[in-house]
Amino acid sequence: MSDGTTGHAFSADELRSLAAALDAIIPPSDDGKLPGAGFLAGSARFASVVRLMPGLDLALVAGLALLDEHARQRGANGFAALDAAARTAVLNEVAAVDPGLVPSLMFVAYSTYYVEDRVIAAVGMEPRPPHPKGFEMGPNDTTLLDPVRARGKLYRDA
Amino acid sequence: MSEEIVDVLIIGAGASGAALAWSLSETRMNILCLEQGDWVRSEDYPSNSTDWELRRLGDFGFSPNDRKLWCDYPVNDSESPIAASMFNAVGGSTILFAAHFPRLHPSDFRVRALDGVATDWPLDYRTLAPYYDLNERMTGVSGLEGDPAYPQDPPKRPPLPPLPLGVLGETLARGFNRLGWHWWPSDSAIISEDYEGRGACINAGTCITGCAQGAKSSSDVTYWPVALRRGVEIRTRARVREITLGANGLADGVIYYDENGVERRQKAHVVVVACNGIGTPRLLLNSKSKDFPDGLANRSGLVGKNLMFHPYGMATGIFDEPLEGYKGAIGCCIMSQEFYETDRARGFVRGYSFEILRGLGPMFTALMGMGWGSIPWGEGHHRAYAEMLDRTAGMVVIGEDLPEECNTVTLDPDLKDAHGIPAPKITYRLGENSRQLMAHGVARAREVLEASGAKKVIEEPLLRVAGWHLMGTARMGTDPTTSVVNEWGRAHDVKNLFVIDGSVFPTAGAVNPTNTIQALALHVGDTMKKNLANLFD
Repeated sequence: MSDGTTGHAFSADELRSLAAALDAIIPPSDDGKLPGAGFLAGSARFASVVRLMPGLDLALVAGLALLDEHARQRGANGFAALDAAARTAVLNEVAAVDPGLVPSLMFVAYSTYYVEDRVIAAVGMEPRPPHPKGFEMGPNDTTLLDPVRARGKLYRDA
Repeated sequence: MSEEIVDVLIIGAGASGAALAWSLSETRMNILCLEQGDWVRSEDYPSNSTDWELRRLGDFGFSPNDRKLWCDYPVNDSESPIAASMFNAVGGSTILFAAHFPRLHPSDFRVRALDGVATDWPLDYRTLAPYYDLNERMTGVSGLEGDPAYPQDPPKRPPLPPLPLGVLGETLARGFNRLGWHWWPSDSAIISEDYEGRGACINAGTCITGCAQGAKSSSDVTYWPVALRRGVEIRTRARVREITLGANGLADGVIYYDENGVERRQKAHVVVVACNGIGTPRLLLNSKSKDFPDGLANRSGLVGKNLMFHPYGMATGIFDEPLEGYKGAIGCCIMSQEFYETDRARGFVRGYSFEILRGLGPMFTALMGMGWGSIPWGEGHHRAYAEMLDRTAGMVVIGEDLPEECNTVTLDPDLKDAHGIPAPKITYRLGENSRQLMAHGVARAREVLEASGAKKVIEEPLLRVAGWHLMGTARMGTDPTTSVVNEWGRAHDVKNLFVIDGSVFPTAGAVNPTNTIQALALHVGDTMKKNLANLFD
């Protein structure tokens, strides 16, 4: 039960379904360099992002319950037991009755996945804080301003 | 903590409060500043961590309604398409600003005379020019002399060279050149070289979540250190509830809540309000008395009226090649004033600026791509993301809002802050001139991005988050029936009460206001010093 401060404590079953849902939102890359987002389920960072939006935790719980129910209708023992194609299909089915679920999963997945060091490194950027090292930049090409200077006065007198 | 009467009490330690405190500190008057926020330390800034982008969604976000920090007060902006954005701290909103630091133009002071709308300022560009010079020296502005969009007599001479344009900046510069349109390196309140004991910008790109380097010239690192050395006192975590009036009809101090929530009184000979275009009218409206039943200094009825934002529109280009947009000051690259001055053939009066934005970081690339429908979930996600990462460049259109009395800051009847003080309510709608102006600007922004080589352009006609510039709600003028303060910020109705923030702007111009806010504060300071002997006459 959410107490409004710490948020809902996801059960083990809920975390399994959540991990499967996140893996469907951001799947592992074909070349194996990027993981699926499922590893974020239950992480402290994931929980902190969920807490940013009051009520999101309970909305996710309700959405996960729907995913499990639709999975069971397909004969599976919960959403996590489905293969990748079936998970995508079930997400699309549930989106028709719970239109907020997929955007909510996308928001939490996208905002937590792309601050993870291993993801930042895998997409080709340095996984480090911007400060104190910063970035080197070259000098400006001042000749680019020649056409602007040639136009002359642009302002109105007053 | 002494509560003896002070000579000058400044409410708010932001851009204008800092500049005025510094200006007056040479007089050796007893000067106290009450600030509801606190100091922000270098180690507190998000750029010290890899999840710095995530903090923009939380404690370093734009809106006080999202942040809900202990020092924030709520703002009812449900009746406005633009949400209010401000930050309470020593340094005020300069802690989070992008540090774009242009001046107004001469024509901005003569809107009525030149274009037949709005009103004129009670002073002109030439009067303010020496204060712009002073403020730019104190701040450490990086820029380039010779911009044809500004007068050369007197010339504008930034003390430091411009910030690097980088691959992204030069790509867009070439786009502007293909169109034959004006552009110029931004005047930036970010030091491009070591300056006055501060280290130069390291191009981290995290400016709008604060600058751990100290290169961004927020007023906590520019004016305040000098003012404090000269004996000015700042009392933080002190939230002013109301300004009180003495029997002689002059302001005699304030009632505030200290850091422990205890109600206290601070007496002062002179009271200066520096609380921004929403906080200032809120405080004045909350300061009712028998003499001022509609709020302090409000005999004109104009306190809280004529609220002006700068409406922001945006166009984002997606390019084929990497732009290194994660390098460099995020909001300070190129400014264009091609469409700044009125041309009635466009179908509207006044104009707008373009400001180029650097690229999105990894997280915001994903979130913005999600919002635009450009980065789907599931199959295709990684390919779509790779096509956007480090391949975006933004252009914002900063439009001139016209003052309209229907755009207001009032006191919310129900919403209150943590101390029970009525919160401000914004009632605002975009005027027809602004709508047309913004539509023109966003369409031209698309042209620039396409001329620069963007393969796809995404337009956002109006950014709700961009309520950063708050102006007009205690306007200056010479006529007490049509203005709240005079040409040097003194309230017409209360001779020892001054307002020095963006509330006093009669018109908004189409550039970021902080340089003008601080130049005005310095002008007010100089005028106060010249008139100390007869200040209350």
